[in-house]
Amino acid sequence: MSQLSHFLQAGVHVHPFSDRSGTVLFNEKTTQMLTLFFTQDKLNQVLSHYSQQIPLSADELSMVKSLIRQEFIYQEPLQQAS
Amino acid sequence: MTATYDVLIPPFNFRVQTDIALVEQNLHTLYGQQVLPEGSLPFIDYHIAVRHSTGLRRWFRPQASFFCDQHEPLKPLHVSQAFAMLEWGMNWTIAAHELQHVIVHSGILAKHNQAILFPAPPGSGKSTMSAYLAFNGWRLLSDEMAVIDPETFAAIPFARPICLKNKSIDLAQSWFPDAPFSTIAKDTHKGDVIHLSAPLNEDDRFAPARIKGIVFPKYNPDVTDIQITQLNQSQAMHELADNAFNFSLMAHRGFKALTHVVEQADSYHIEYRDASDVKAFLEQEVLEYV
Repeated sequence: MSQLSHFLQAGVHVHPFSDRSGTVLFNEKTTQMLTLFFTQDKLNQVLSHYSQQIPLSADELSMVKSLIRQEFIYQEPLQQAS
Repeated sequence: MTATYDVLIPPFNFRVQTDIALVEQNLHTLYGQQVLPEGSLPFIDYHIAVRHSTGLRRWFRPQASFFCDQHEPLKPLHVSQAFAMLEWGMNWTIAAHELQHVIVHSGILAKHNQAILFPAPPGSGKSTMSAYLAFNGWRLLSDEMAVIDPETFAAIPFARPICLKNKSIDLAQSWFPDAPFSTIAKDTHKGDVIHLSAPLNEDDRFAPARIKGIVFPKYNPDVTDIQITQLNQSQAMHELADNAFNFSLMAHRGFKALTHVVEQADSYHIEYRDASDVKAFLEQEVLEYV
């Protein structure tokens, strides 16, 4: 399974909450913060599927695009992986 | 005549200058022994002033102006609102400059050194509830700005007077008739406001407290009993970050502090009609007794 760290832009910090309610990301450069109601395992899975062009649900695809648009993850490695 | 004082409001030292008697009077009423002669404190974090506006506004519908160093960040107000302006100016000063601590727009009170954050928008009844708790066995750390140490994740007291508005003024004056209140500033952009100094034990003035709970309060006169909804950590983070002034400027330290606070706290939405219900809920359900 792909790891979230492979996709993260430099300066992005991730915190998976211990109650498994979600994951929060913070980008030091843009100062944007994003709370996702996905566990880190689920996030890894979604990114892995995205890079392998395995179909995602509308919500999952929207989340990935949001992560790219808000500069939390690189678009380039995802495209290369696919 | 201009008066200058050093005002000790841990964790910050202010130098306050004013030529308005109303400001001087309220400063002494509310801050008491924290108001010291100029030069008493070894260093000053912030130099602020509230002075009569110059020119026509010195005499015609006289106004007061707030200054932080040489900047005038707020619009002048009627001179009768000058003390409220000093308090709001202090809020602005900390929100705009402080980078050593994480600052959250939130009330914060503690009991048994366990602190509860109350982040809430205006009109939620936060200040009235804070006043009730502060006079009923709880320690006020701040009515307006929670100060969090990014290394220890503890809340640091920044105890200043509680700002009460409109109907809450009569309520608080009936609850605490002997407490130190400021003069009323009428017809401000928030309506009529008064400031109330909460009791504080000298030993507690510098004492940090572990953050045990995050409670998003909403006053609702239509509910009969307190309504409580527990939040998961992601929901709490989402809402807490909306109230954090400076965590993004503090980069990873600020982010780490907020996530740690959410991890160590229980978080709730509450709707309440009676502040005593909030007190009972916190003491029975949220605080730990060792």
